[in-house]
Amino acid sequence: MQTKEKKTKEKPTYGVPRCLLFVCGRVLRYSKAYFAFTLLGLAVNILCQVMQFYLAPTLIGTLERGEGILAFMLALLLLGGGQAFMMGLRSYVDRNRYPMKMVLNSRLTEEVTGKIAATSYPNFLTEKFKNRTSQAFEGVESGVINGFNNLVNYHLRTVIMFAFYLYFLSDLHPLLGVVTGILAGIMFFYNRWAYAWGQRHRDEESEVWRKWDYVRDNMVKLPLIKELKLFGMTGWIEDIFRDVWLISSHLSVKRERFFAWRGVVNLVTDVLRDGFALYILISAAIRGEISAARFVLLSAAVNNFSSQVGGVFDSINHVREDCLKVNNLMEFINYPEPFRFEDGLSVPRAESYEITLENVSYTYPGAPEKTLDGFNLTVHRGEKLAMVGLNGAGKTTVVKLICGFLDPDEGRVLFNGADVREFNRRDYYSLFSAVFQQFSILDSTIAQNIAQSVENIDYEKLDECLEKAGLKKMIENLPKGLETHLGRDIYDDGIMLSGGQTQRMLLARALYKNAPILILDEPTAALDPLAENDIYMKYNAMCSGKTSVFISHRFASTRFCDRVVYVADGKAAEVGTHDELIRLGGGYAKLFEVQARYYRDGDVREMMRKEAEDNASE
Amino acid sequence: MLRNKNKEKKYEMSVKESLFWTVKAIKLLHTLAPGEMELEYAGDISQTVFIFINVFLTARLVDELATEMRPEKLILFAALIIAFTILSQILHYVFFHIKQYKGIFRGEKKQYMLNKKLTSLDFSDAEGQEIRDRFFKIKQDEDWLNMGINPAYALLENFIWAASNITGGIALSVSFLFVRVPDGTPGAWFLNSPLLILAVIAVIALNTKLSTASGILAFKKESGLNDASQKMNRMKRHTEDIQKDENRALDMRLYNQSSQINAMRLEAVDNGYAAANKKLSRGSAGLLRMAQSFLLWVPDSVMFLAVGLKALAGAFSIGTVTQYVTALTLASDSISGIIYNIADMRLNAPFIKKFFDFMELPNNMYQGTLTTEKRSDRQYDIEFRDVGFKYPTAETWALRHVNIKFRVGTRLAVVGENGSGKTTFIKLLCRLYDPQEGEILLNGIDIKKYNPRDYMGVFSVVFQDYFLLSQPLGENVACARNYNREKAERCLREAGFGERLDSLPDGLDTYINKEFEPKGVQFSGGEMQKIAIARALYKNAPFIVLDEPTAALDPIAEAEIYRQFDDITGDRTAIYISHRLSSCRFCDEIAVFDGGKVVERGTHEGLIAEGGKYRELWEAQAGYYVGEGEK
Repeated sequence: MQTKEKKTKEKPTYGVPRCLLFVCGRVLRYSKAYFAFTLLGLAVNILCQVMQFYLAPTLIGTLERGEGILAFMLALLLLGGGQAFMMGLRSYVDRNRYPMKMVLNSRLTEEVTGKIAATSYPNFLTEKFKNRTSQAFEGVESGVINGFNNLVNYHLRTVIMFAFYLYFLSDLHPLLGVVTGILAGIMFFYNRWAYAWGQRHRDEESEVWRKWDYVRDNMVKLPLIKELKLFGMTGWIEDIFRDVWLISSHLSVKRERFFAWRGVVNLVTDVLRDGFALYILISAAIRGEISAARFVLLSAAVNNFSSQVGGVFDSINHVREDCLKVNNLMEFINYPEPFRFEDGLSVPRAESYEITLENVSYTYPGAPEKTLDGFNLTVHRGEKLAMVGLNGAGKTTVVKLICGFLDPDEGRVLFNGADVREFNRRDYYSLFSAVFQQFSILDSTIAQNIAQSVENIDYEKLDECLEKAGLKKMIENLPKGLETHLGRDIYDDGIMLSGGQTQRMLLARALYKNAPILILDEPTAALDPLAENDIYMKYNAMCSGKTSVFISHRFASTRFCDRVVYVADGKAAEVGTHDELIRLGGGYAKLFEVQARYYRDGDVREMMRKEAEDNASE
Repeated sequence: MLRNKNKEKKYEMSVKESLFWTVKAIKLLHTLAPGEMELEYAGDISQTVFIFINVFLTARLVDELATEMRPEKLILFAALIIAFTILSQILHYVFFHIKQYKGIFRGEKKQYMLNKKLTSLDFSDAEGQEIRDRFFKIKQDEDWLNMGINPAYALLENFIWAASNITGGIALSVSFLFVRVPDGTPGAWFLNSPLLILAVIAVIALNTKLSTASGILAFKKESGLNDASQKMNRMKRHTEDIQKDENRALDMRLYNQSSQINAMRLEAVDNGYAAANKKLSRGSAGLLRMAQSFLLWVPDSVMFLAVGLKALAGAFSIGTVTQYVTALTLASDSISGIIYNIADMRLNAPFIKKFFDFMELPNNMYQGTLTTEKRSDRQYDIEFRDVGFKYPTAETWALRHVNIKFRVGTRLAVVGENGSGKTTFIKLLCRLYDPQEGEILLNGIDIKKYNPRDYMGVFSVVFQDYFLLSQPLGENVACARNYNREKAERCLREAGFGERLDSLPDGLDTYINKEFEPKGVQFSGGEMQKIAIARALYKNAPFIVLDEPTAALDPIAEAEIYRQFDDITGDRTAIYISHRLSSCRFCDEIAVFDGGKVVERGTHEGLIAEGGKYRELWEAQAGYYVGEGEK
């Protein structure tokens, strides 16, 4: 809670002027048409308002002065017809702005996603960056796009109309402007205070919404529905829902009570303002200074003027709010990058590659302990290396360091002898084909997903990779074959892959990329024994001529690798061939034994019983 | 395309039919948030009353200004205007804030209803893509198109607003019809006859018709883009979601997915929806919308003209002019408002129908009434007799001719390749599906004849994709808010979670994950697995089914689950599904599935000796382990 308070108080890096400059600059850069049409819309809007303002009083004026039917009809045609025409024109302009806005949004989103896609991976591990990411998306739509629209169609219009009415009323009574101004000022400061109150309570409220979102989204997930039926959870879920609803009602009472006071303040200022204006107008009329038509015109002007004064004050608040969102976007775009990209060295191309982790230590941000501590390992040229260890031993972290997703806190990762930190990281990534446990499959076609491209797909190579990954038969059975859509986020006809199919798909993609270094992190966890065995059998062919690392907690994988590294306590605890490590009789041998004994002859249940007894006596 | 044709048809819902659905929606909204609507509409009506009072008083004030200018009258009118302003504002705020409170969680309650409906459907329906699409579409339509149940609220509000405006407008302008211009003024025959008002009404009606027609025409043209717009929205959401997702960040970088995503976005947004929309905006749709807005302002001018002509001829005073003009303008706006509202209602009603159609989906599974007596000896005999099952959209049978009988109190290992029907078998067993062929018997009686709730009570299942909620640990074990704490703790200990439980300062009240409690604990995969097992134990059913409980675990954690297996199962009948054939060693019997059939049954030794499918699977996995240890 306290950290959140601090976050909102954090001073924005970019002030209002720089933010506004950024907004206008981006709109101009991505859609000049949108910029021009928005300004055109403003001009039309102002003309429309002015005509509307003059319409009734002018018509009443012609009647009052008895100027006859022609003057009346002419005024009606010019002002009424003009206003109608302007309204039509405004609709047309707004209608046309809409698709331009889509394009503008698309370009700005691309700027944000471009940053996300390119940013140094460790940024993803910090809360700050994650928060900034959501804020950046918000900054596109409600910062830049709405901000620009507000700037022109609200703030600019308010200022222009304010000036117009001020000029209009300047000779009526000097105090009118002052009183209206003061009252609007009171409202402004009150509103600002109330807004701050709302902001302070928004955290509480957004927590309710987060909880509700959780209930709403998870309740309809299939695994939960299954359990719901089997374990009769309906009553429990209802209780959880009711809790969220009760908190929400409680907050609502608090909020409505508070904002009821805003009604009172509004009421008082409104009555004072209207009363004073009426008083001035009527006293002027009694003195014979104004006619009935002029009274109608002036009272409209007074009404409009006071709402414009309020509007100017509101604008000040709103511009600041919008700029805060723009600031978030700007901060995100300029978020510091610990890695080198275009300014780094390009990676030297060679026949084969060697990677060395030299005394590497690494701690995840916010984690209490080091994940790796003095880790030493060399992956030799063209070697097939197996990496094993318990869950949480740090195998995946080692892979992330090798691939250049993380940089060590201490020690170095050397690539053919040179520190990875010196390279252009994007260039470096092109050297790796990998299957990670965390993966990303896009909602597009199978072909595009494997070829990692929308066009220029090499179908022959694709076919070969599918064959190797054991996916070919499954795809041939699909009516649309390689053009079948995956996932259901976008396409209604998309298919969902099972866990095993997903792993084969990831493997096919890694093979298609055909990079010199192949990394496979638990690629067979979801496969049945035959399929697993099939992959093992093909493994040699897959990585011929490549340097490869195979991670698994299934020890079978170590048999077809040249060397094994056993990771424990953040170190490469044991390194050698399978036979060497078994002979060593250390952690590796012990772990192997735990898994292997179930596959040997003999009475397993007897063995387990004994072991349980041993455990109990300990 | 078929879907477009359907959409065309949907506009054509008759006024009567659409009214029926709208009323139904309003009734629902009313039960969800009683009092909210009444307050909202009462507030609207009172505001309209005050507006007309204000119009009337202002007219008198202007009259006084234009004629005698008596100060006491002027002050009286001014004071009345102020007084009514105060009254109207007070009423407004009171109504508004109470209404806000009454309406809290209305939309959420409705969504919860819908969620509950989905979860209560037969499982095969709830997981069917068609039903799920319908379910999500209802929310999508409301979020993106603003079509569905909620808009009915505003529709009724608009009707009430319009009706009160028309009433007020007529009340203040009815004299307009009867005030006569002096005979002899040019055109008096027309201005004094009902023709004037008929002409005005005719122009307004014609105009509204035209305006509505251009609006609907534009809407029809715009709906041609619905598919493109849906694709764009889905694309935007999908790409933003996945690019934010840190789990995807590795692949994003390694496989340069962002350029692929940009290409997808360019196709769906710039070259798709935006391009098509641009063409429409420049041309027909833009011009139609322009005409619509233009026409919107014509009635006001006509009204002005009629009032002005009569005033010019000397029928009434200046103040009355302002009164008539304002009153008539409000009334005529409301008449157009009602016409637009009817059009909107007709557009919206099909979406309401979708909601209620979903809410009325039937449960097709036969629901028997027999109870399964609680037997302390756990003598529950289950038998599959020639069971066959096919998924609704699949062409091949997932299971066919399955015959199997469980022996009470034994441990059965179920093995087989991916897609051999193991999981389907379990789902049939606990009656998440009904077989299309054959029957499943409990103590000799078809399981359909039992009360489903009772029947499901016989099974505890730990699914591969078990689901723990971000709620206290103990509640997750018991699946209830109020539970037997002692029992929950005992079950956690039996599942091997005891040590970890002791290390938690809040014990059973520790929240899992952080969604509901920032101090919540994120447990490891192995720990979560144990909690899920404890949940199954708490249910204390005679059958316990474990579906791949160790797939994500390392050898040590796996060995621990194996070791506890005997404790976990106790005297229950146990079914253990796994890819890891090591698990077959501590089960009494093994059933091997292949291509939707049980191809082999027996003990490990027996099946190895038989040399069939089991042996093939065994050797594929064991080959790497056996021989080595004997060296």
